[in-house]
Amino acid sequence: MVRYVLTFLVAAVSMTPFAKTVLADDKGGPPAIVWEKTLSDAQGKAKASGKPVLVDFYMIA
Amino acid sequence: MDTVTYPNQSVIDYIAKNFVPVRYNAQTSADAKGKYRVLWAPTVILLDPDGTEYHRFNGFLPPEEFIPQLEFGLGKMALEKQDIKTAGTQMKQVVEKYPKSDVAPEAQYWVGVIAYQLTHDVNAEVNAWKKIIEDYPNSIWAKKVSCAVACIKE
Repeated sequence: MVRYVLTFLVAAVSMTPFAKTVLADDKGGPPAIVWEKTLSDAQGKAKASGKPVLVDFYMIA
Repeated sequence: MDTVTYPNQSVIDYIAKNFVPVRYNAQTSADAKGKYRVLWAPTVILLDPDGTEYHRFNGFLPPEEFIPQLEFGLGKMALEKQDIKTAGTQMKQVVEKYPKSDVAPEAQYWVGVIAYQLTHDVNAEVNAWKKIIEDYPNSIWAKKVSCAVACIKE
């Protein structure tokens, strides 16, 4: 029983750095719209999904 | 748009659920700008998967106006594709979910048109249009239906 508990503790401690990495990745940046790069890419995905395409023309001030 | 509307979580979710988004810098994308006759930015255009345009709007809109415009655009797309029932559902949703949005009176106008198309009953259309005069008396759409509503009364 003690051996099982020790094994569990060792496993838990050894996974802590990876857990931190996963949590950090989950935070990532702020949520954002995932824009397609070209209209043909967007139309391809639109045809596959049946969704319409939203095209945004913007300017950088 | 990039500082207020596009970072808004409701806008992000609405676009992810309903559209495939793509964007072009209007200053550097002459081909796309010319293809869609874009005069200024921001301009948002809704296309079907084949690239046919169904709705567009210009200028900044905050999230509480932007989402109703997109929903209205889906209604126009359905209407022009002769999917009348879907169009009716979409237009009613604009009015019911976003009654204070600037596009709501126009959506109510199309609710009336669709009511007529579904029933061929002019009273169904006029009843829907009366709601524009009651709820949005200062809108251009109240003026547009005023004559028809008055004439049918007489």
